[in-house]
Amino acid sequence: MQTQTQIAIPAKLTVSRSAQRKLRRRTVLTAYAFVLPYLLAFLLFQLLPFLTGIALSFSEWELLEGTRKFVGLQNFIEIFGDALFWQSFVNSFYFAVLTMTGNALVALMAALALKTVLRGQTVFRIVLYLPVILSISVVGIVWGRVISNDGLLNFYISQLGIPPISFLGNAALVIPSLSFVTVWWGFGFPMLIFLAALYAIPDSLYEAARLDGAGSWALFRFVTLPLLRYALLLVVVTQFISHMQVFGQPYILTQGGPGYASYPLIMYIYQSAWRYYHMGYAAAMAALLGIFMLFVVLIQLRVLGERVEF
Amino acid sequence: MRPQAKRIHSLNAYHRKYSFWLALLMLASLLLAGCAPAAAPAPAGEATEDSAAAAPAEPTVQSEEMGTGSIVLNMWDGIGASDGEILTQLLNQCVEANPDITVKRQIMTWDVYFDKLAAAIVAGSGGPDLFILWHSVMPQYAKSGFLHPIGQIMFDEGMLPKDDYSPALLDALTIDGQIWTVPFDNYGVGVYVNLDLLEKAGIDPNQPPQNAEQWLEYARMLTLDKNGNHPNDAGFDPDNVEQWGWAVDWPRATVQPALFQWGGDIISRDDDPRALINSPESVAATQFFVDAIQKEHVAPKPAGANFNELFANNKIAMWPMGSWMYNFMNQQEGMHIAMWPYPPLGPERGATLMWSHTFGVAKSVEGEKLDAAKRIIKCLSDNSALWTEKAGMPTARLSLRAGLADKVWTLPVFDKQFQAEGVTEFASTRFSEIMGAVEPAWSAALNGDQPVQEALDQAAERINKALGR
Repeated sequence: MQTQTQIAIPAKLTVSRSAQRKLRRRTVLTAYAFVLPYLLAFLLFQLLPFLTGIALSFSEWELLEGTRKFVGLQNFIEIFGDALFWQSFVNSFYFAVLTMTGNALVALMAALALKTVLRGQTVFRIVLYLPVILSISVVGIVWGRVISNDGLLNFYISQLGIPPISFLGNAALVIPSLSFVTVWWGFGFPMLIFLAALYAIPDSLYEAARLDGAGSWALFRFVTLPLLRYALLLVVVTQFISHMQVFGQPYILTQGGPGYASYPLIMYIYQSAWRYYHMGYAAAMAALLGIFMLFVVLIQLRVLGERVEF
Repeated sequence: MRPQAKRIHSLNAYHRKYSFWLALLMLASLLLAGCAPAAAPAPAGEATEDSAAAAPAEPTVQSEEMGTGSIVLNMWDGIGASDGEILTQLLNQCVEANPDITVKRQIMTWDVYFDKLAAAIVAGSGGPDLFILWHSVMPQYAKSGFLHPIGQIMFDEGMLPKDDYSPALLDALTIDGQIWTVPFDNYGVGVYVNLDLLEKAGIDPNQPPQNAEQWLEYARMLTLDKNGNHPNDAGFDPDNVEQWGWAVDWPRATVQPALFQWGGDIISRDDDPRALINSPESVAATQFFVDAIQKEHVAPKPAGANFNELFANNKIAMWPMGSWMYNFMNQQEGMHIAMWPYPPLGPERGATLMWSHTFGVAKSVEGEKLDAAKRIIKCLSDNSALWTEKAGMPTARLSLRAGLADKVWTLPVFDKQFQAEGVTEFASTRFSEIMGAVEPAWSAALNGDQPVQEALDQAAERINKALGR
């Protein structure tokens, strides 16, 4: 004998409005609870200092003298007439463009090579990434020994009968040299981004292109490169922002010299604030740098950020 | 089967090719990172801000606690490495002699020291009670109301004998009639000479140069290219110099004394200081060094050069540098090194540069803590002979130097020249900003990147702007 249990299913599942509200509130609160720790940290350690910095840029605050007064746009006006500001700005920009380009190119080449290598890929990946984990102090000390006037590189150069090259002492060479060191140090991270993006490209696209007679260059130019656009955008934007704020490399390797040839804007901001104690002036320079970076990133997003579908 | 086999073969070749280039890239990276030549030991002294920035191998902040007394003094200084250990030894002696005091010492590299000091002052807490200041930056702290005039207090109370200090040094520490800090040492610049290279060149080390021309002549005799030619020989190759007669190292130490000798200075030393760095005298003095590098080819361009290594490897014969190199010199086994006074190069007068590490006490320190600070300062000062003996830094106490001449080979030269013609570096409330303008200008000029007058004019403009604030 079979028994059947009948369950009454209401024609329409009804939940009271208050229960709905309660559920929604709970969902929202849970979401906020997850976000709250970060939000607090963001407010305290990013937004508040950011706003304080902006406010500070309109004031003259001589740190040790304890004087602080509102000066309106005076700091900004002074900055526009400050030759050292412009020189340090150009230095930072030159360094950022060189390093961003170098990093993107080397990382892309390394990623392409790594994707092709079947045996020992993990080992290659780890070793190529290794410099990234070094601190800037270590990188600075090691490379200082390599590219100083009497360093390792000049030793080999002199073995070839070529006069030693002052990589760090020549005003024309110093920023490219610092950029080269930075590319060696930092290309591992963008390499991983490119590698992940390369693996995300469906093989079927390459097969289809090959059937259409595409060679290696055509495959790269018309399949790989367009589909790497987002990865490239990420790399270009993050690298530019990061390298526009260069400090450690010139601080350790050249102290901004010779003269001001490798003196970056962040070093000027730092020294204005903590060596010369002109907090307002330093804050105004930092604000201008922030605005400039935002502007450049918007251009980058505009140029590289077109939607790609595959 | 054959086409597939061929493809597999071709793929393997393809992978091998990339593996080869990857391996080459890795190998190059590792070689560059790992095969750097062994470094000459770092100088034990750390008196320069530059050297601290260039050699950040030590942690930027170290701390130690000495004594078990109930009065706790927080002490900050920038004296690390082997010199720092000597100061620790002295402090241990002092807390033993004053068992009611505990000294909590924080040692920072000079490049972060002043940042942290300023932050602590502004924060109003967490700063030091007792700390070391270069005499040149002292006015910034005195005029901001952060200091007790501890020098004046201790001299007035008879805790320290005022007449046992160089008057020039005490003058440099005096503002508004008060002596604000207590000098611990009185160090400066002389010339370290490589006796073996001098002997090979036929120069008598007991006959230091007496004027600029003789100095240049010595430098020429001591400079050799890879073919053994001197700068005034035909066929001299300035791009392949094997041995330099002279090193124009840190210009603040090397060029600055020459400014005094030409009658110039960085700023004027009056009530309304203005830039003198672009005065005809200062330009002429700087030009002398630029010409030595660019025209005479007797000294290397300073940027990118590692002078410690060059000297340690017998590639520099005459090296004007500071007292803090004493232990570095002692560590150069097999080398024979002597000290000359800073040479008389300029037309006006003989002069060398002097600095001092001085003790300051924060204004907030009162009562028994102030008393404890004074006792520690007195003890360190009374025992500063050890500082001279172990670190080569001449004590500021003139009476203590007398017994040390036989023990510290650099001391007789420093002592004699400091007392006869020592000039203290200018002190200013804008010291860092002024030096921040002058040093890049010297660097640009010495490296041939900018004409002397132009570089120094730009520096003067920045200095006057700073002084005018």
